[in-house]
Parts: sequence; structure tokens; C-alpha cells
Amino acid sequence: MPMDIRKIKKLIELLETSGIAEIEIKEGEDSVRISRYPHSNTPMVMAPPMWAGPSYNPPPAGPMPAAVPIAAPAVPVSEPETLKGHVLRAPMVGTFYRSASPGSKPFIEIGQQVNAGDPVCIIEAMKMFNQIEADHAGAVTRILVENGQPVEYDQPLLIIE
Amino acid sequence: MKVALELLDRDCILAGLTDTARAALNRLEVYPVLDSTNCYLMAGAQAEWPSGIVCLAEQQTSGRGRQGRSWLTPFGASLACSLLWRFAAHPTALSGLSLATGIAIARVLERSRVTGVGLKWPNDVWWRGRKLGGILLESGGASGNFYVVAGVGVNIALPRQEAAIIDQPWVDLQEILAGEPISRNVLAAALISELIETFIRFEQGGFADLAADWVRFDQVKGHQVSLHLPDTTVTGVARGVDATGALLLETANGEVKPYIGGEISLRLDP
Repeated sequence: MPMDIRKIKKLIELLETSGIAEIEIKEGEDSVRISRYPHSNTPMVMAPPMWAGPSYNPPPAGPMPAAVPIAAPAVPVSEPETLKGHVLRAPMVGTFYRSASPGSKPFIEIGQQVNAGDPVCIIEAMKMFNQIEADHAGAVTRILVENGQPVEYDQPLLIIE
Repeated sequence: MKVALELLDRDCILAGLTDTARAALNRLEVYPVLDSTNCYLMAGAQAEWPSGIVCLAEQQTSGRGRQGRSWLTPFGASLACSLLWRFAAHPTALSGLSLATGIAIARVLERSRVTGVGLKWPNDVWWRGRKLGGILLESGGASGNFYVVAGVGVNIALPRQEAAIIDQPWVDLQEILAGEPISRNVLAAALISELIETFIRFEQGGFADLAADWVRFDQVKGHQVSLHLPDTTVTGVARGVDATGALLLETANGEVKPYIGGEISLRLDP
């Protein structure tokens, strides 16, 4: 290891206290890049893992600092330990779509008010397009799956409060 | 060019249904023009219409295929037909219904003298590598009150000028049957009967009951294929389907895995 391990440790501390996402230091021929995110070029989305249950689990312990403030898209997660609200789960395995067709308006956006029975997304399997309805009235506070991603049976899709 | 046009006739179609289909049919509606037969029945399903409603249209102004693709339905030139059916089963038990619908159409076409009709997983209706018909299955509702709208489109005699916009190899019955007369009403009655009977059978025995028919119509089995998923493409040799209707694909390392879909297309190597 050409670069001094103590120097790297120092850099990690610097990163943790600074609030910046990524730091890269060059020293002659050597360089080291340290990132707070697993994939440094996509520092975003998916605060909880897709299979997370109704109560919010902190990111798995690892080399990264645990309390990285990655917000889910457009939703500040201020109280991550108790995620309130009703969780809508996938009734089948398939691919998750937010709109009826590519380019058309998504069924729902964050913050939108829905009634029980309103279509909120589509899960497709073998070209059967299953319209998923809200099973609870309220405001959509989180959408836990990205458009075009596969979902497992019973996986949380979105949260209605 | 002279074209004989047989308009859809409700009484004529009703008279052609099998007894089983007629008993299960709740309503048959025939329209000159609709935006889309599937849209019409999806709206009906949400308004609590009962199971067993069939709707046909001479022309669709916004006929749809999967994921919002358009489906061409010029007046009187195809068969555009949708069936609303309610299932007591949990939606997970209906995974092979998409293939079952394809099998129903292939059977009817085979009986209508279309030799060599086949299916491209999961349910494109094919004839010698060209698309003869398409299926759009839409569903919704809670478990125990789950509904499916099965939309079927079969090319009968597409006007060449209008068909020029179709972005894939296609064929119509007029070409396949080489001038033999085609009765759209007879075909419609056979199609509706077979769809209803297939759905009844599926409710009882699931896809397992239809697996043998799938093998008969499967046009990609044993071929090198590319399977396009939302964020990746998998290539391998198609090895038929499993008991749920999932495509079995053997990759280069000899591993066989089931695939249930995504935005999927299959390409046969020339």
C-alpha cells in the first residue's frame, strides 16, 4: 500500500465531519478516492432497501458512517426510526411501473392524496399488466421502488399516511 | 381493388357460440368505433360490471398493445375483441393466464385453416416469424375480486397503405388463406367461445392443464434468443416454459433459469 494508512484514516474522518460526499487525493502516482456512498457516481435514492419493512431500518452497518442523510426522492426522512403510515405491498411478482405506458403521466406523485381503489402503479408479469390500487386513503409519502424495477411478492411499494 | 367486407353482427356471433360459452356469457356488445375495447372494459370493471362481458369494435381509434404501444385497427380490417372475466383466485395463481390466452387464439386459428400458427413467449401470435395477432392483458382489483380484461387483436385484411406504419414484420389472414373467404363473425364466435372456455379451464386447473398445448405452439423453443429486460439483456437458448408459464432460458454456462418478464422482447436469429 503506497499511501500511508494513517493518512487515509485522517481523510475518512475529514469526510465524515465535512458533509461532502466524496474526496479524492493524489500523491505523485498514487491516488485514493473515498466516498460515503456505495456507488460514488450515484449518490441518491433508495434510502431503505427495497425489501425494508414498515419500520425504517437504518442502512446496514459497514465501512460507511451509519447515519448518512440520504433522502428518499423528495421526502426528507427526519425520523427514520418510526416510519408511520400504511404500507402498500406487491400482491404479485413482476416489474413495477409508475405509469400506464412509458412517457405518460405517473399514476401518483409524492404528496398526492389517494382514495382506496385509486390506481397507483402497475406490476407486469408475462405481459399481464396488473393495476395496483390503493388499499387505504391518505397522502402518498414515499414511493419505495423505482420505475422498471423487479418486485418480489409482498414487497413494500409505497407508503400512504 | 375489390374488398368484401363482412360487418360484425351481434346475433350472428351469439348464434355461433358454444353452449358452454353462451352459458357463461353475461353480455356481448358490438360497436362500430371505440377508443379501445380494453379501455372500455377496464372502465366497466372498475364500475363493478360482472364477469363474462365481451366487447368488439369494427375500429379502434386508440388501440393499444403492451406498454402503450399502438395497435392498428382500421375499420373492418381486423378483429378487436376484449373479454372481462373475474377470478376468485389470488392474482399470483394467474401467472400463466397470459400464455393461456395466446393458446386459445392459436387453437382457433389452427381450426380456421391457418397451418403453422404459433406463439412467441409470452403471447405474440405468429405465423412464419410474422405477427398475426396480439394480446393485451390488463387486470386489477383486490384478491377475491380480481378481474382481468383480455384484449385480442387479429389482423384480417389490413389495407396495405395504412399498414405501412407497422414497425415489425406482420401478416394478415387474407394473405395466409390466399383468397379463401373469411367470415369475421364465425371467427369472432370461435374466438370468444375458446377464450371463455380457456378461462374456465384455467380457473380449475391453472396453467398446468395447458402446458402440453404450449409445447405444440412454442415457436422459440430450442432457438438462440435475446431477452431484453428493463436494464439488461440476457442471451441464451429458449428451453420452453415452467409450470407457471415462466420462460426457461439456458445461458452459455449451461444454467437454466426462469424469467417472468419485464419489458421483454425475443429475437430469433436468422
